[in-house]
Amino acid sequence: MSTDKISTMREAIKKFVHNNELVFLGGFGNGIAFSAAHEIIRQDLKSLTVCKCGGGILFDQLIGAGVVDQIITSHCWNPHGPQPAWNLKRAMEEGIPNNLIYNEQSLFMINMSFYAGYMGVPFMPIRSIVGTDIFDNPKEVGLKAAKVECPFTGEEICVVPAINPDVGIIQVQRADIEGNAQMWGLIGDTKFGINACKRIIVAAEEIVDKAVIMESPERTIVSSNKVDAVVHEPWGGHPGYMQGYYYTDLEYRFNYAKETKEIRDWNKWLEKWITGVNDRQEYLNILGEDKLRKLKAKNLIQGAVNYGY
Amino acid sequence: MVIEEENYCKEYTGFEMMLVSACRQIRHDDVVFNAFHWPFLVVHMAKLLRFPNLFTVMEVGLSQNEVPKPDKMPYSIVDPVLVPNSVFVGDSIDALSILQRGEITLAFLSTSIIDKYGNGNTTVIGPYKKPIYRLPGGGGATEIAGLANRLIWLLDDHSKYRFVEKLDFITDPGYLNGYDSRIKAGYPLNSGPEAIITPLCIMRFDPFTKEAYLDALHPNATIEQVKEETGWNLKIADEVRDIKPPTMREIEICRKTMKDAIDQYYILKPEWTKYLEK
Repeated sequence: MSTDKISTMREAIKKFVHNNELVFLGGFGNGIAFSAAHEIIRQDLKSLTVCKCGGGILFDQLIGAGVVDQIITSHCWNPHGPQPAWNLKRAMEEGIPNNLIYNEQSLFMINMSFYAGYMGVPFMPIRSIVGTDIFDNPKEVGLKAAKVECPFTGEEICVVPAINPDVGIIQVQRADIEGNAQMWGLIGDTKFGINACKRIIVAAEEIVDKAVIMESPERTIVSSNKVDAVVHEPWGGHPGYMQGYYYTDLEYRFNYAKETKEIRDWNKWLEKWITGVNDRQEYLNILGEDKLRKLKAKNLIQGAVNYGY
Repeated sequence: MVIEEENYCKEYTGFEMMLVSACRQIRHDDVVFNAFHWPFLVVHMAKLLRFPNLFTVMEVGLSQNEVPKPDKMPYSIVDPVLVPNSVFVGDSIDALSILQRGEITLAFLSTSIIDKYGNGNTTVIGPYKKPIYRLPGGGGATEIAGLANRLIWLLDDHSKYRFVEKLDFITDPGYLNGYDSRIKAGYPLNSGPEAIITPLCIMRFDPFTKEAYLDALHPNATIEQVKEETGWNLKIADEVRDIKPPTMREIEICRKTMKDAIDQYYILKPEWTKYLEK
């Protein structure tokens, strides 16, 4: 059996992401899976539920394109300014382009739900959401949290259920062709979220030899036994950043708010950056070489250690 | 010797006063949860002004106790510039567990709407099912409000619309329904809101009822004005303290921080920045 899982983003999404599924997208600032989300939009998938600790403008785009029915997240806004996520607002306030369920989470709650999924247990206890309206809203998504008695101390504690997405996609610094994926810098919810998933697509800035992975194996956040597809996708996290590769495109993200405030402007934006291009390379062509040069990270190589034994 | 009064700044905005006043609440040995937006600016100022080695934790899973790098102010709590300046980087669960273990002594938070028991709403204005205005959701603020020893709210606009009797939605737990309701809900004994800082004043909480009252006034604000701009019948301390204006040094650091923030695409209203050098 071949261990080479290299694929294009188009093939990987087509094969592993289906209508009506629960999808995890990785990245908290570092390595946000923008390229994958754009391909999901191009393939016009329907009725997805997407989950991620902070939705940001990534979820805003999925909402505006009409591919999601439900978001499971703790926060969805454009952090630059900060300014509203206009597609989220349109969906929640006016049902445009469709009625959206915002499954309200707190940051700890969703992280612990991923952690329960990661650990293969049905729930995890947390101390933070009792007495808030996050605890049981929206009602239509059913039981989101519960209070149980600790069998050891008798103390009452809140528990949140495991989340095990059907499929997850992450954008990482590097991976080998088998799918051993390494990420460094800020991880956020990415490691536990992706390992809770049933199917996994890894998109990487660079494809490296397995020997490179084995030089610092503690950087691996998901290993090959779980991974279904590996996509070589440089700049796949733009307009977010990838530590050691490129910085956040602050200008682009800031302007996004004004360019999507009105629905007709959003439609133009969608066509220009997502539906009007075939793949990431064409997207990068629009962005232009000057911009990429400006965003490219400077080298800061540090932290070699002795693994001797 | 210079007379102390001469070191005070004469012209400053209420927003600047709010940031400076917040900064003064930090103690040298605090372990601070550094949250996005105004809290981030306050902690940044504190590191430049007073405590370069202040220990700070961010929700993405990072801890620091080093002075910020001078070349670039982080645009947010996830800026990659933070990483090579940190003592710990892990997962969000690591940072949130520090909070849950009770190790965070102080946190600042901003919120959209606040009630008299110090609960915050950043979810929705109007009926939940049919919102007039959808807001982002709480992010980590729910647990920061729930689990930090001392919580200080920063409200940049002191008005009736932001200070209400009852919230449409509780995103962040303050004292819930007042009295002992927060403790009964299971939150730690030594936790909960300590103050609300606004451009006009500092409110603190009655130890028994847990209702916010006017404790201290910023210069140029009056008791009548604060009462008028608060959406519930605000109680007033027997002796309302007067807060000293920003010192020249405080205002210098405050304005530098604001300027750097604008360069990193923070939006600050013109009335807050009228004394910034162009």
